[in-house]
Amino acid sequence: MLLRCIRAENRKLHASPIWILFFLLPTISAAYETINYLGNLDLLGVSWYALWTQHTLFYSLFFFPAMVAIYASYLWRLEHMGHNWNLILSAPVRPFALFFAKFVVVVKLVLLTQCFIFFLYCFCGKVFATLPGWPPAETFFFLMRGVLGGLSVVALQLVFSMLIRSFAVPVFIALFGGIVGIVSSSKGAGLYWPYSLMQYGMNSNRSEDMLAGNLLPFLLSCAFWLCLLFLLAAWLLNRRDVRS
Amino acid sequence: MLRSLHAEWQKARHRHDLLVCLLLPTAVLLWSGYSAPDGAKSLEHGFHALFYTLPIMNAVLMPVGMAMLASRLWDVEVKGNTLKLLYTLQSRRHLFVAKAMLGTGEVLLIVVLELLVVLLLGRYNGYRDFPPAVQLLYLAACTGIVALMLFFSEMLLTILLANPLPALCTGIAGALVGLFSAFLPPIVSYFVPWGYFIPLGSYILASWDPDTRVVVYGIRAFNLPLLVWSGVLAVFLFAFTWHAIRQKEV
Repeated sequence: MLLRCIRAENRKLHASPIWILFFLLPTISAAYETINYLGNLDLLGVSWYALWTQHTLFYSLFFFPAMVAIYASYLWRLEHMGHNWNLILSAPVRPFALFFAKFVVVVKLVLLTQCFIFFLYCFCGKVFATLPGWPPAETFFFLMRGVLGGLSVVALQLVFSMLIRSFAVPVFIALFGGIVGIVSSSKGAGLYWPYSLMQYGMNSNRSEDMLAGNLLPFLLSCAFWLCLLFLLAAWLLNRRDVRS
Repeated sequence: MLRSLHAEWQKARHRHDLLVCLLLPTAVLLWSGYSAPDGAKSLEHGFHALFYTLPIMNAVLMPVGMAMLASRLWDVEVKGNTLKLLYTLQSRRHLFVAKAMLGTGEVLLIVVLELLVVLLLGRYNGYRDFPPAVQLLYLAACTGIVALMLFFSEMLLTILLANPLPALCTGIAGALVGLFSAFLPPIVSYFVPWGYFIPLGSYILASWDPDTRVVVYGIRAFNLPLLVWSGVLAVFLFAFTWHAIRQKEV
C-alpha cells in the first residue's frame, strides 16, 4: 500500500511546474556564485573548496528551505481542495502511509536537487573557473551530510503544509526558519534547530569543517528531529478530525 | 463598495492574515538583531548599519512575502471555486478594489511595523545616530512602493494562472536575483525590480578595511527617478491586474 501511495505522489510530479523551479533556482545561484568567486579570487584563493563555499552559501541559508517548502506544499495542495481529505482518509491505507509517501517523494526531489547542485559546481569549476583536477571527496561528503540535515526540514515542512491550508504560508515559514537557522548556527545552537542542520551539513561558507569531531551529535540531532516529526505527523493524522 | 471591503476583511480575519503580516517584521527583527553591530564603537554608526542592511533583507524577504500575501488573497476564491457566485452578487470592480485595498493595507502595515522594529532595536542598543525624519520617510516610501509593485505583480500571476505556485516560484527566484544584483555593478540592479530596495537605499557602505575590519557608512542622495519609475511600474501592474480580472473567463 505504501508503494501505491508513493506511486500516486510521484504521478503528481509529472509535467509539474515544480521542475521549472528545480532547474531555474540552482542555475541562477550557480551562475552568480561563480561570477562572485571569479571576482574575488585574490581573497578566496584558487581552489575547489573555495568555490564550494561560494556555491552553497545562499542556497543552504535561504533557498533550500524555501524550495523544500514548495515541494511539500505542492504535494499537499491537492489534499486541501474540496473534500479530498475525506477521500484520502477513507482510502484503505494507514494515514501515516500518506505522509510517509510524500516524505519519500520530497526526499527524492531533494536528492535530485543536491545532485544537480553538485553537477553545476563541477561544471562551473571546470568550464568557467578552469580549476585543476576534480573536486575533493569531502565536498561530496558535505553534500550527503546536507541531505541528512535536510531530512528534518522535509518532515517539518510536510507537517506545516499538512496543517496549514495555504500554499504560500509554509513557504514563508521556511524562509523564516532559514533566517532563525543562521542566528542559531552563529550562536552555536544549530543542533537544536532543524533548519540549521542542513547548513551544518553543507558546511557552507566555512574555511574549516563545522562538524569536525561533532558528527555524532549531528547525526543524533537529525535522528531526533526526524523521529519527533514522524511521531507528530502520525499522531495528528490519527487523532485530528478532517476539516473540509 | 464598503460591503465588499467588509467581506474581504472577514475573510482575512478567518485566514489569520494579521499573524501572517507579523511574520515579516519578526523575520526582520531577528535578522537585524543578529547583524546589528555591537560594542562601544558601533554606537556612533549603529543606525547607519541597520539602515544599510534593511534594503538587503527586504530584497530577500519581500518578494516571497508579497507572493504569500497576494496568493492568499486570490487563492481563497480559486480553492473555494467562489468566483462564479461572487460575480453574480457584486461587480468585478468592487471585488478587485476591495482585494487591492486590503492588500495595500497589509503591505503598508508590514512596512510601518518593519520600520518601527528597526528603530526600536536601534534605540534598545543605544545607537546615537538616529536618522533624520526625511530619511525615515524616504525609506518608508521606497519600501512601500516597491513592495506594492511586487504585490501587484504576484497578484497578477496568481489571477492569470489560477494557481499560487508560479507566483511563489517567481517570488523565490526574484529574491535570489534581487539579492545577487546587490553585489553586481549598480547598473545591473536597475534591471531587477525584485531588488529595487537596494539601489533605492540611501545608506551606503563607504569603505571597509578587511585588515582592521573598520567599516565606514555614508549617505547618498535620494534616487528619485528610480522611485518614480517604481511607482509607475506599480500603477501599471495595478491596471494590468484589473484588466486581467475584467477579461478572465470564469
